[in-house]
Amino acid sequence: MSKNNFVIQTKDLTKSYGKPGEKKDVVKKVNLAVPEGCVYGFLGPNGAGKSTTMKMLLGLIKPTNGEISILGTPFISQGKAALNEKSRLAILRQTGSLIESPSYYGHLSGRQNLEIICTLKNVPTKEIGEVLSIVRMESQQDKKAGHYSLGMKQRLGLAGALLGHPRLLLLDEPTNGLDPAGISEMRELIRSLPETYHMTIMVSSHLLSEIDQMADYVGIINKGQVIYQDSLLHLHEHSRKQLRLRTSNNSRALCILNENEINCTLENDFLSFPETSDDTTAYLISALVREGIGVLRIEEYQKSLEDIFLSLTGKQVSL
Amino acid sequence: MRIFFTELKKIRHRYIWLVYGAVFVVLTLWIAWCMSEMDFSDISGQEYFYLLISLSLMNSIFLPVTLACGVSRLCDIELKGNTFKLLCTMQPRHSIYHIKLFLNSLYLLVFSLAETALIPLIGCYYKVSQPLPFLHIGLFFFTTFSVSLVLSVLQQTLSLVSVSQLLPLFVGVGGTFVGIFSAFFPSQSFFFRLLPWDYYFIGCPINMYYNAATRQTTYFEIPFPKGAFFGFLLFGIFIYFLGKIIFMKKEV
Amino acid sequence: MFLACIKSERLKLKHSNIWIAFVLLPVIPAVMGTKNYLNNLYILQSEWSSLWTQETLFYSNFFFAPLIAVCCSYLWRMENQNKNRHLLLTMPVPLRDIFLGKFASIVKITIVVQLWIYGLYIISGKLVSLPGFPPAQTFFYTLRGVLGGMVIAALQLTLSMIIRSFAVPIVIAIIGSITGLLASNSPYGAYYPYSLMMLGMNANKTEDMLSGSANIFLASSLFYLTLICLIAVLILKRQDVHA
Repeated sequence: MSKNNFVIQTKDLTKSYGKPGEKKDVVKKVNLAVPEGCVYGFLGPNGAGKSTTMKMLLGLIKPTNGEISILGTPFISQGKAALNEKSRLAILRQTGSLIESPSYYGHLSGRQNLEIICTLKNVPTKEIGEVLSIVRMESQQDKKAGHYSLGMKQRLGLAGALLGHPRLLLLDEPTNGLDPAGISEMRELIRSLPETYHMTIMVSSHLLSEIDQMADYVGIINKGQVIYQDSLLHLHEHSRKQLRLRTSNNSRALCILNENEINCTLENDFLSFPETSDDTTAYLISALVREGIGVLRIEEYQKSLEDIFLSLTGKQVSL
Repeated sequence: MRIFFTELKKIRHRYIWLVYGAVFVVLTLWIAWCMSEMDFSDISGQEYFYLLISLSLMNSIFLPVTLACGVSRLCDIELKGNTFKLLCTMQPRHSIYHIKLFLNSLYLLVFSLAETALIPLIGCYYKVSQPLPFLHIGLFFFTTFSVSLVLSVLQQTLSLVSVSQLLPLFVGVGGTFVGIFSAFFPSQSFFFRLLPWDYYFIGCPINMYYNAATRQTTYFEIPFPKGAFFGFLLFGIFIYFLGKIIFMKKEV
Repeated sequence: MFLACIKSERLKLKHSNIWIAFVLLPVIPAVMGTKNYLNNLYILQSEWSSLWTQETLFYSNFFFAPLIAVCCSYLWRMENQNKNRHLLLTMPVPLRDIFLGKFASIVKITIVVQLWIYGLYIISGKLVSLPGFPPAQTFFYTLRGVLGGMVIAALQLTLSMIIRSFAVPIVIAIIGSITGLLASNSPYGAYYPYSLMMLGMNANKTEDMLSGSANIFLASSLFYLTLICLIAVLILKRQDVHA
């Protein structure tokens, strides 16, 4: 994939708080690469730095260090806090966002809230009907936003983000506060956006299962650092079934398996290798026995995505 | 008691005392400035009366809106964090109402005491000739504290009900306004006795008379308007119960 | 873009019923000023000019700054609630226009209140059957008051933006009013932002307080207006946004 196809690209993006000397890095040298036309899942436990990163992408928070480039426009370079107003506007014009909990003016109706966004985005008000039907809240549009349920506010926030057909959508925990039906509806909606409207979507979540069901690409962030970033498929490859083998002479067995072109690794006191067909397995065992190696145990083992996530983030999180 | 300390914890970093403190400092500077500009031969033997009437006037100008700010700040923490729904499940509703009122009355007590102490202090500093009028200063303290308390009950009721906080603050600004004008109507007509913000001045034991011909101001004692003030305190108690009922009925 | 900001501020102020306060509150000084005028006819003998002194006395000295402060606080309070700062600052509009859009709403309110005060002045003058019409000068004072009021409005709007509290900027406005009153009676009045409105309105004076120093008043007002707006926009640009 060529460099130009990345909608969001960051280099060594860093944000630290606190006095010099006892600085705490909330986001540390993050290098994001979000390809065009995908749903990019930004995954991490609470407080990992997801919101801070997304706020930096929107210019709400000024990075301490690093570079950001969005939709091909350099946004912040060399950690200069003084960002270029022109490029900021150029980027924001093509971006819709929903950060943390949704924003709304409580004393105005849902529709009036969207009218304000239309005015500021310079978008004709007839688009309001369209986005309202996308998030399915036409019937509630004239109620005061302050009286909405949390799920309704979330929909209103998404409707506002969709106004003006942005090329890039940044959604921070968009399923917060939605009921199960609402969550799956939201998921379907997010999945469909890249194809229907040619949008690129970055969606953050602390729920692996959620990202698993809607994202093409995943970035996993923990304690301010990105510890994994690649396609979801690649992450799934890690979770393929493995065979674990314990023998009386593991190092000898490793050589024999390698001679048979099996990609095998030695872990602790056992060998593990990707699952093979029954015939191959039987053949390998007999080959070992012929060489006089005693096969003590053989077991099938499957690493789940949760296991991978946990081993990456190193802590028990809400999954 | 436990609830009181919780309330104290809640207002950390809110610097409510700073609101009253700043206004007190400004009042002090103002009255000191007035005294230093004053030709003492004009008010010889009446310096304390001058101080009392000036401070009453300043109170009626600044305290209504200051109270509105202080009380609004105290109530706004609950509105901002939407914590009423939390509090109402943990403590009886009337205690929320009472504890805020109690805390604010503590601030007012300190403020009134400080302001009362200011009178003899300034008197000593400028070496005035009038002997200290204890009774009048005592009455000044009583008026300042009780009127402020009644007004804060009113403000608290409005602040707890108004989500936008606009209404209580506009009432405070309006109250300040009414307070100023009361000072300019020595007739003390019945109409003004109906406005609670006027009582800083009505409760002041001193009045003055400006003789335009000789350009002389005379200060004289007036009997404390017991009847009107009693009515005013009754009004305060009425507002207290009304506010409590409204707050108890409010849906969270 | 600037127009869009103004329009969106107007939409936000819809249904806030803020105008009721701006219609009702100025009536108090008008009624009471008139009454005070009638009570003191023996000292106040220059008819329309005397009535002007009474009506503007407390309006511009104590009332205008807190009133406009409440308004500024309200404008930013809307953004501080429900994370609306995120929404506002991710809209594709220049930060400068966001501030100026809010400022324009406040200026509009200032102008309306000033004109309303002037209207009340004429009405009350006619009610106490003063002959003819007020001197043209008083209308000029009103316009000057708008300029001075704009300085206070810009300052309060900036304070409310930074402080993020509803009540504290209002307390500052009260303190500003008192100090402004003291400063306006000194030779340095024209250099203190809170005094400019009182000087412009010629509050409680019959002779023109600015005769001879009108240029200083104009320069000082424009200087503070530019300075305050620049500082506000700079802060918006530099500060991290936490909603």
